[in-house]
Amino acid sequence: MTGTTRLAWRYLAHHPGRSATLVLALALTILFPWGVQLLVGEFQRTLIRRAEQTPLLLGALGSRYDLVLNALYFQGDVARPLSMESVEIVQATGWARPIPLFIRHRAQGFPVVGTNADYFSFRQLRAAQGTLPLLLGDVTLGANVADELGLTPGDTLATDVGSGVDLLQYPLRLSVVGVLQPSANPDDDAVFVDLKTAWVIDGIGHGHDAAEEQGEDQTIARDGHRTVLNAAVFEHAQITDRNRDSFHFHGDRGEYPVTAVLIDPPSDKAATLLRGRYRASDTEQMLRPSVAVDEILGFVARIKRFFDANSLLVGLATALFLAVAVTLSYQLRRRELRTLRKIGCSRRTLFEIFAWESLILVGAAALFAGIAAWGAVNSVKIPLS
Amino acid sequence: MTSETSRILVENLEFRYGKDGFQLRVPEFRVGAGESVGCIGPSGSGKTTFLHLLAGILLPERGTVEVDGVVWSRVADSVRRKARLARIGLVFQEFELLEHLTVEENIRLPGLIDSRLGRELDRSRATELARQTGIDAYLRRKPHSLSQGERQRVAVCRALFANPAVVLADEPTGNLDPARSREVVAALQQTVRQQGVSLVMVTHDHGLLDGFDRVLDLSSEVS
Repeated sequence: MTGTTRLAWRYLAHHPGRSATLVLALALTILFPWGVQLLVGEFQRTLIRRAEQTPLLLGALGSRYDLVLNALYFQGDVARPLSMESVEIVQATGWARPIPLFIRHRAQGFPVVGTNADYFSFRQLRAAQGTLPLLLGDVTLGANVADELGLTPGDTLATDVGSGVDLLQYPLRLSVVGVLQPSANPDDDAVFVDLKTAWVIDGIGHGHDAAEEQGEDQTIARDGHRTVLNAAVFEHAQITDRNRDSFHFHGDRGEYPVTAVLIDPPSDKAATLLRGRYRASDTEQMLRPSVAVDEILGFVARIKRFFDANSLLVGLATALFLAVAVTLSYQLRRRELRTLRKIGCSRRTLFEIFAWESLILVGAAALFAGIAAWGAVNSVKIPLS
Repeated sequence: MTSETSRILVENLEFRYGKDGFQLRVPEFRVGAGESVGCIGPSGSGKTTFLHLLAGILLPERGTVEVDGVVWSRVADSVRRKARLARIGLVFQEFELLEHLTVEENIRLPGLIDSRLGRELDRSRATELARQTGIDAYLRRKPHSLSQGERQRVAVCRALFANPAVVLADEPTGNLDPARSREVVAALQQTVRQQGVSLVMVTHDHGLLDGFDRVLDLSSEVS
């Protein structure tokens, strides 16, 4: 430590309250733009990485942003779903592997993603514990969900009430069969079920004891071939090995809803052919998620510019504040400085002492802000991850 | 006493504060090596101004002030500053210790503000001076916890740290009672004598001048 550094440090240490206030004020000024920069950077990286891993996306015509946010980041809802028929049509072309998604419900606040086994190979997701959801009523948890809820295979997880179309829908208790390996993607913050399970949660399918075994109070009509039950019939709230066979669906499977279809074409040519096919559709849209995400990031960049301008003003205000603080400090220390000058201290050395004091304050503030920004980036949940 | 043997040589010195301010005239003033001189005068007689002229903090309008071979008016400000740091020890009226530094750091202050001095003179010099003046037990303490006498000794140690040729003391007993003042001046003279350093001390208290080799009455030098 040089003499001037020691003198600077000693002065700051002798006035801990004043020094700490200055460090805090400076740290906040540094932290705000830095934190925003880091968070926005992380937000952009998360969005772009996910979008680039998804070549094409099929959904109902409407907001492409809603479609991308729902299908890739499990955020929000799409206004209109597709039907399973759309999946079958893509399958029939032979140009790509369609991976249906049904994302409408939540369990303990986490999105429930209904899909098939292809999704896991497409996203390269593997079970760290247990298995992927193979059977009706199975749920496999994203790594963060398991961590946050403290669930392991063998536990159960209830869906949230009223998260679907039917607000009176009772929660379905799902059996946790596995936990995925962490992927640093939105998959970590979701739970995965088979499509059929998702439809049961949506109320399209249900399970109850055989109609023939129902009492008269739950029967509307009964003839030799057919029994019609009323709404009071008891439906199973959990799918178990014992009652799994009692679950069934009504209606045409081709009309069952999917919110989006991930398209995995084997080649650029196949992708181009598929996009051409849907270009003129007035009910469906096929888009490249990376293009939609670029547009979303354009909005983010505009908002960030506002923050940048704001940070500049705050920085300027703090610089003025610091200048006032240094000037006041200079006034308060006139006697001390006069003594130093009389002894033989040069103006340059006095400047050095003040410069070291400022540097120590700014350095401490930057360190403090850095730790806080690092903490913020690692603890603040980015909305779309 | 010739210029070669004088640590301080003042000739035909004239200094005036403003147009109508008091004027200080000192035709001749010499201080030899190891000699101690007391400067006496009432308030406003220019005692502190005279000391500042000797230290090169102020420059005379006329005449010369030469300290340890350097004529202040013939050298640049930076040379005066460096010479002051290395050749002159200053003891101020209220000691002017830096409250945020420890006693040891206050003694080493010339070395802290000048890296060359800092390299030449290390902590052991401060410890040695503190031991000689009986304050070595307080080296890690801050000045506010010391008595006036102890603070004065810290100021003397600081003045002697750079092995100066001359110590200039500006009423270093101003805040002390008479008995304590005599004790402090005796200690200052003894320490300075041990180091072989010339001493010029200004005071308004005639009772403190007994132990000095010579006395200059500044009241007769002011018009």
